[in-house]
Amino acid sequence: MLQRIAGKTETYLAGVVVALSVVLFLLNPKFLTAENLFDVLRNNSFLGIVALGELVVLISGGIDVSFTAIATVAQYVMGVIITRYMVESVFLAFLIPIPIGIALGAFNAFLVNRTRVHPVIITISNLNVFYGLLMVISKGKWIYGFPAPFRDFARLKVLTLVSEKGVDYGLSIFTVVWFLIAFATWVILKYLPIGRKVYALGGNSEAARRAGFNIFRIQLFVYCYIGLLAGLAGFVHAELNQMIQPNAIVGRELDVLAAAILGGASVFGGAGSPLGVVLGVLFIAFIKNGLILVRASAYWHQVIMGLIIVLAATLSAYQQNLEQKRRGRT
Amino acid sequence: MKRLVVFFLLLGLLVWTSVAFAAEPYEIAVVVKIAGIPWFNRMAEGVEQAAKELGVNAYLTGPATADPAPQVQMVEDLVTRGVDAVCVVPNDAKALVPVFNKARERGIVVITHESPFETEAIDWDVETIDSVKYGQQPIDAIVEELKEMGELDKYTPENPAGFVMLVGSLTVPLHNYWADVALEYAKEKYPFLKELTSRLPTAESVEDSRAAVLDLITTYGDQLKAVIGWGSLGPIGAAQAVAEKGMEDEIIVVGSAIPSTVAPYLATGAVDWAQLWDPKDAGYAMVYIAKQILDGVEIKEGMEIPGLGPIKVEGKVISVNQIKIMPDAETAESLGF
Repeated sequence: MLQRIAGKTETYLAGVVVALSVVLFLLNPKFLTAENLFDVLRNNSFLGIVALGELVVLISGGIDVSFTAIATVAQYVMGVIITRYMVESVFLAFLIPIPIGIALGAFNAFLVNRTRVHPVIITISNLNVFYGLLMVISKGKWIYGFPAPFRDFARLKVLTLVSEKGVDYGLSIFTVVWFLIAFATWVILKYLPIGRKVYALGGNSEAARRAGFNIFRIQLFVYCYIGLLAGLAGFVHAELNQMIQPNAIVGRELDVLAAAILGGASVFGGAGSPLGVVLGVLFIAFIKNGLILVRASAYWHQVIMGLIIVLAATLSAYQQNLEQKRRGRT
Repeated sequence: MKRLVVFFLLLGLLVWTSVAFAAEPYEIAVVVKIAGIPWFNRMAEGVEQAAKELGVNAYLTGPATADPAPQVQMVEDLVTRGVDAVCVVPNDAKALVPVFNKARERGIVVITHESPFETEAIDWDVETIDSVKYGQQPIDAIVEELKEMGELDKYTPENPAGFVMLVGSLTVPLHNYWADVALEYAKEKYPFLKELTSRLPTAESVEDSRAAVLDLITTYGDQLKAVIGWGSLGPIGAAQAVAEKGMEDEIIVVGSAIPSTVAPYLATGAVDWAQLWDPKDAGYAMVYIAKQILDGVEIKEGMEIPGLGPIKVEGKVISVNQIKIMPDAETAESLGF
């Protein structure tokens, strides 16, 4: 039943994304060039990765808004280490932000579980604690001038094409990472016992409790998962920008929540799928890209992004209604 | 033993009287948009320098987030405490009007910086740049680049060279003022330059600027000849997009940028020209002006701020022109911040 509702959202959203693409293509044929699409996918890989983490937390009936601070702390520590010691190995650099993300996620899970305060409150507080401490320690200093291998890695492509002008373009490594994580998230949610438990907890926490699930272990999993993905996304963000600025990511919580909710995740838990979230990110990405491509004035950008967030919230409420009706019947 | 006690009592009395009767130095508080970021740390250096040289108790402080409310609160507290002068870099100049009025009723000197348009409730606004020049120079820089590329003759009003401007947001007064000035200047002086699309609010983020410029390149192709970033991250993001497309030689990137950040991009040619002012100068100038007013010196045209030159006075705006221009990486690095 859950899958059928989620399935419907995805089909519906896929239709909207296709329709949007056709409209944008008619307004500016350059929209559907491989070069443009590859650019859009690469530029949105940060958003795409953290949105998948948010999805898992939302399904469990929780919410995490501290992931922007987690990503920032993780990338900042990495930046300090690689520039101070001129770490030449991208692989080593890549291993730094992930444990940091997991540790901060575990801290969130611990507080959510022990205090029983709503996770919105816990994670907003922790957003300020993590971010505030980082600002105190770093004094907001920017980090740039990464080692050369780190700069080259940002240009790495899995599939390379050459434009008429002789410039390389292609499928970025970060896009591939994003899609691999979407696939892994799908496998975890669908086939691993922990995935089923996450749905169960979000669907009806009382039932999950009575069924004898270890609630803390599930919460630990979901908050560590978004922590891990936030750490990874922090790495991707630093790579994409070749610069680490403590205030660059914080403040983008709504974008990510909007993408997840548009993709069918419910703020009340129990619903949502990785495919839906990928489509939600694509929808937002295409709109942003399309606004410039169709030469819309910047004054409209804000209005349209605002409307999309309202649309996402409305969809979520509508889904909630459906859910209640379904529960009423059974 | 008894004598020792008397000695200490006398010593204590001496210390007490000398503190009580020494002339108290002026207390001048500089409240910035957000404390602890590199820009305002640099400004703090200027404030400290002024404190030392002028013998005043001047210090820099600011809220933890760049929001209007905590800043208003902070100024409110300083007014209650009775400082002699407050110098403010406003997050929202309008929100500060009531507390500025209260301060002036109590005889506290009120000075602002980076806020030449909201001068109702203040004593003076101090600017370290000539805002009109700051708006015009990037346009001249673009034309100069076109000349060097040997493409100047290629463009006519019918076949214009297109440019796009990135601002911090559509509501940042100075960014939008500079953009207006630039647009008008280009229209008058160089009719072969044309703004392709209205200014985009991305220049407070490298990420958004990069994505926007990639989209602009896709949309306008060869028509896009130049990008001006008015916020200090705009040119950096634009440069990354241009480098990604291998168009360093075809697209001109100019604008505001922090010297140490922009130097590597100037070196590769991804950024062609940059400008900024030194926040240290601004910190020094605010404290200096505050001290003069407290001393009862009349502020008038041509008065000298040490190291920054004679001032220009227009209404309540005091300005010195200390725009730092960075045509290449060496110049940028030599600025030291």
